Amino acid sequence: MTQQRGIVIVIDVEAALQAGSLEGCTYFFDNAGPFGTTGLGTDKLVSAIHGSYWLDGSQASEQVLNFAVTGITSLPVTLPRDYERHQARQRERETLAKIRALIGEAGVTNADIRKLLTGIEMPQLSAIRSFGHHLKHVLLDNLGQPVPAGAKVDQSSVAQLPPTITDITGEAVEKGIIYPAQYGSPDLVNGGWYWSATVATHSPKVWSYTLHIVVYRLVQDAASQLPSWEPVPMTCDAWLNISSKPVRNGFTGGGTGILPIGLPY
Amino acid sequence: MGTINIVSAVDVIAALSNRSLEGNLLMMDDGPLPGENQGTPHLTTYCWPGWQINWTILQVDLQTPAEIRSIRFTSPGGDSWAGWFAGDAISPVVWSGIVPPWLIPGHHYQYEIEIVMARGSNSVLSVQTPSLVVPPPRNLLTPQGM
Repeated sequence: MTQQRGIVIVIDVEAALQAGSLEGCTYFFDNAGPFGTTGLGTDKLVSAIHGSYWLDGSQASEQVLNFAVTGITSLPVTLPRDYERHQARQRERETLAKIRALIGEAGVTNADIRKLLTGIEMPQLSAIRSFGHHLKHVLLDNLGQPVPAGAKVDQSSVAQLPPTITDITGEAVEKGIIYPAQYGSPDLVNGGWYWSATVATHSPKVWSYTLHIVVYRLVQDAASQLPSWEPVPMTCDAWLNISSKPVRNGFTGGGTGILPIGLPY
Repeated sequence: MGTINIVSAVDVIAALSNRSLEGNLLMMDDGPLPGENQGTPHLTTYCWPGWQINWTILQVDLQTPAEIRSIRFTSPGGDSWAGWFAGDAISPVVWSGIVPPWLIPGHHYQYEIEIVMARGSNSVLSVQTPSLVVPPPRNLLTPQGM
């Protein structure tokens, strides 16, 4: 068992949509910073992967990569999947509780109740184009509150739909250096799916790979009359710096020896 | 001649948050004579001359970085820490060695284990409390000793 490498991709979606590219709009991080990774916080991440082999040449440690992608102005991916619907329902519940509180109070008129009812705002729905049909989705603003129906919205005034990884390709995949796949997870981050890859550390070299990422552009859809999230596929490259060294002993620098205990130095 | 594994499980997130390994480092051994203070940084491991000791580290959260940077034993003089150590966590290092024949039975040979977890001022934390002990002959033991 060895430490897993987490590779986090943070995307400035608005800038990427304007530029038409992820270059310069992507910020990579991984958890191998102290162990030789370079390019942290840039779009030129070279992750250090330390392979090792035993004296007989066999691989001594396996390496696993996990990929997580998020947008700078996306709501945290750790929120429950139906967070936006929950927020919309919560507002309705609060208004109903206020009306209930009026029961039994003298001097309450229909006008008072009507005034409270106007406080219920229908949330603005947006649509996600997916395989030819539309998925309805409550629009949230940047603070996670539902956007009222009919409000003027644009890309920067609402919480972005988080970007999604759709594939991992490139040199490292073609040459069999990494084996990427999408896995289901009991953790509902990204809807319970995540990308992971195992690394063969037998070929020390800097290998490149390509992440295929879909970002979403907010457009006004003529047919559905709803603000719609239009998927825009993009790619970005990252690198793995695979090294492989013989396992050595921390006490001797070579093979196993007598422990340095009680020596007079 | 046998082998004893000393496994140190570290809760990296808690250790970095509290800036301490106390309570966040769980050391265990699998020796034939069960060590004392299992699950704490105060682990006492019973061993015998010629036996091999292997130190390994496990992360409680697999995605957090943690490596053993050094293991150093106290010199007989007392206050200085003696022993060769690797010093860099980049190259693959295993921490194992043979218990020497000159250890005095019953004496606690304390060692410092240094763990590197990330970058920054508190990323290298260590404890100086675990020890190796060659069990003394039975007739020298106090009743609660064994």
